[in-house]
Amino acid sequence: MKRLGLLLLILLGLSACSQEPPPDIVHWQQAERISETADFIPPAVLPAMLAQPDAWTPIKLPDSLPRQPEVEEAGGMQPTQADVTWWRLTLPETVRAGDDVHFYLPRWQTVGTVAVYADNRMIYRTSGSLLWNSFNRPLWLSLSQGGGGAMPRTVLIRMASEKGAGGALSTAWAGPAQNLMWRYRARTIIQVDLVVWSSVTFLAVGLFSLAVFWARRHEKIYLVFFMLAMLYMLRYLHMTIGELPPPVPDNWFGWITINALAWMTLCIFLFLTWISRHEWPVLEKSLIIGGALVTVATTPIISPHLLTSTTLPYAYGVALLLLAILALIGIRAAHASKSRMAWILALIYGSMPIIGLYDMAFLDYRVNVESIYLRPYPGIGLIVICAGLIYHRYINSLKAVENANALLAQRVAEREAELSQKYEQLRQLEQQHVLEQERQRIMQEMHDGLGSSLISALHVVERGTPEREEIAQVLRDCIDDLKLSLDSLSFSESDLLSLLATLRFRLGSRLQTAGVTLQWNVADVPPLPWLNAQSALHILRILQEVLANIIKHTQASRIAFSTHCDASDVIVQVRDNGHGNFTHTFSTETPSPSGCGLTNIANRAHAIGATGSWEPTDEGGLFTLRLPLKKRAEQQE
Amino acid sequence: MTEIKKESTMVGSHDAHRIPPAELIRVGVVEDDEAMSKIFADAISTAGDMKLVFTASSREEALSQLSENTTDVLLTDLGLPDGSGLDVISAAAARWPDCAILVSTVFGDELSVFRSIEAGAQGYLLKDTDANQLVHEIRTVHAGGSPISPLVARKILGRIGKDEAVPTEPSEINLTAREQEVLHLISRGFTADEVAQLIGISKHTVLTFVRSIYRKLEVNSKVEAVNEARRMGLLS
Repeated sequence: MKRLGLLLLILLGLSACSQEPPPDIVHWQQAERISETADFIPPAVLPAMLAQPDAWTPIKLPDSLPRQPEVEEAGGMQPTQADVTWWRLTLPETVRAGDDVHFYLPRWQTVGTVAVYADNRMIYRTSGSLLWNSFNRPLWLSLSQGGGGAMPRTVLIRMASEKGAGGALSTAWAGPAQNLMWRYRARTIIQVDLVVWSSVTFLAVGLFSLAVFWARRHEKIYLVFFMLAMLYMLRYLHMTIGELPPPVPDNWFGWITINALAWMTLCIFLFLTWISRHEWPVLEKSLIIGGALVTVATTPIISPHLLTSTTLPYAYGVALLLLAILALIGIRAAHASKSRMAWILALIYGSMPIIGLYDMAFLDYRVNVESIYLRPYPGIGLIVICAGLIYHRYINSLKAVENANALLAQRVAEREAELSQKYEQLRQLEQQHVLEQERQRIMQEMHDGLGSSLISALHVVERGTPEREEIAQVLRDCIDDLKLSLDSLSFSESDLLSLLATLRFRLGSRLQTAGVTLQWNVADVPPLPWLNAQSALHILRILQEVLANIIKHTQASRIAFSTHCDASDVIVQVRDNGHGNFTHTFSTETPSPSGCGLTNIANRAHAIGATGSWEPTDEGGLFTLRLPLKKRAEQQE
Repeated sequence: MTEIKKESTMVGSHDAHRIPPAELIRVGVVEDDEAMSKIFADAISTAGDMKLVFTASSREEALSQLSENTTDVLLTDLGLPDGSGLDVISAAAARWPDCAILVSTVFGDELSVFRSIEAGAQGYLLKDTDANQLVHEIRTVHAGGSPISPLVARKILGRIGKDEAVPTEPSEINLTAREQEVLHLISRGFTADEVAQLIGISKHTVLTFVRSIYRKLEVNSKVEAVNEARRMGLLS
């Protein structure tokens, strides 16, 4: 599309040139010409020969002076002497004074200098070098002498060319600025500005590519983009350079220009092979090495006289040949790849040698000098393709990331589902395990406690005629057992005193019935973190057993409960005033069988990691239960 | 540590004399177990200062008896064949605001006691209590005191968030310092008599503190029910 628009613009510009101008504008398509041999520097005073009317020859514009290679060779030794050609343009009366009249020259071309005179006053001279002059810039000069003064009657154009280099001059225009300016402006835009803008745009894309390459060294194509952008800028510097001479010597500038062309050719080729996914590593490598050798060999240091105005066209020729060959290979690769991008690039590439041929004819003054050099414009296509490719890769990678994220999210979700399923299974297993443990514990309690009490009751009844009170006692014991079991089930605290309070609540009335006074001397003790339903029941049972033993065997009338603690244990003491004679020590060792309910006590104490003793005192007996503040190592599961 | 010689309370005959015979305590019994019901009935009849106004063995029967008979003290079981004793408690509390309600229970486990208190009961009664103790409990609750066990005290302390060992549930029950002290001592295993001696008040006062605590629980549970209903959009 861009190229189409560009072509339209060019056509518009060209057709505008051929339109019939309004009467206050003069479009010179004829002029008079005179030639001499003189200095490159234009004289301040016009030479006398110009005053001779016979000396002028009428010619048509555009005019061209053919290149004379044999003269060129000879003249190379005398750089100060130039072929000087004068064109005289007569300003008609229709162009009125005081209208800010401007002179507009679309194009001139030569190797040398150009000057413009209004009558006998010099109004312009080129200031560039002989070779890299401002040939590509249209001339726009004011003919008015300021303050509405008289208009000049003639415009003289002096072109001093290197010997045999030839030259060309387009038609010329004069007229009021406001009517003429658009022509100058359109040509400047097409011929110069467009090239500058594309250079800058390409450079921006190139710098971006360089940054990408910096981050991703394996993607050499970004380096190629950057190189292309740099080379494009260097290559067309001579068309955009303006009035001033280039900042480097002519031969170096020529070296840059011609090598930029060669490397551009190579870079586009690399680009094309890459985009076609067709690689010729050997060819590519040898091209790069060959290119490097040529670049080095053509430096003005090694070959000072190689790239002069004379040899440049041949150098272009060689470059074009190379371009044509590579373009053919590239087109084949693009065709094989069936990639649309590759095809577009191949078309651009293929157009380059053709455009090059045209431009060479132009350079050799074989084409109308009012035409334009076409070679920069394929570069615009290149920019579009580079930017388009980068755009595609960017969009594609965004999509890829999105896809990857979606995939990742999906996999995470799957994994989560798996995990939660596993967790659920584990939880169920755990729950079953806990239930099983609890069931076993309750069964154990029913067996040891309520069950055996009921069986004793049964035996008592079956044995014959039991005492009422005996049965009642057994049943009371059963109920007590049941209550303590149930209390321990709901016990989920680490507070020992709550547990003792429960014991008292349940057994207090039994003691009272048995005629025993209970003294409650408990003091607050630190919490026992390991206390749970199971260990709570063990403690309850131990103390229940102790109380039962005291009541049954000691005839005690008073029992005192007390609690205190030391550095490692919470201590529960049960003191009675009976005459029992228990002597026993409960250690953390596996208990050995002993009499009465003491084995039971020892087993339960062992199960919760408690130690204790039962010993006689002066007044009666003292049972001591030491509950560790922290669970002992061997008790930890 | 204070030594308290006497376990629990004494059943004094002077309790009976304090109430003139003309003002017998009117007791209702709701119990589906016939034997148990009979034990209750016998104990009440023989007490002298109280009379049995009705016995009921189902929820429906209890509700109809309650609507007709003025009741001073109600003994009710929780598990009735045709429904929950909690309904009977609520109905009694609504019909006879001065009626003292005791829930009779085998274990006195804190969950059923707690729910009964929240429904409007003033105490609990263990079913294996002997006859003497039974009539004593009826007199106490009629006189404005309420029984309490360490389990229930611990549960209430947990409810008001004063006991770090028990997980706290959100509530707005505000107990006085004295009430909290009573609960704390009860939960440590001290009896009402011992608590009375420890903090220097009469046992009756201790039991009225307990009654006051129960009332706060009941009120709080009703407020919570209203709040819950409001949260669920049943009330605007």
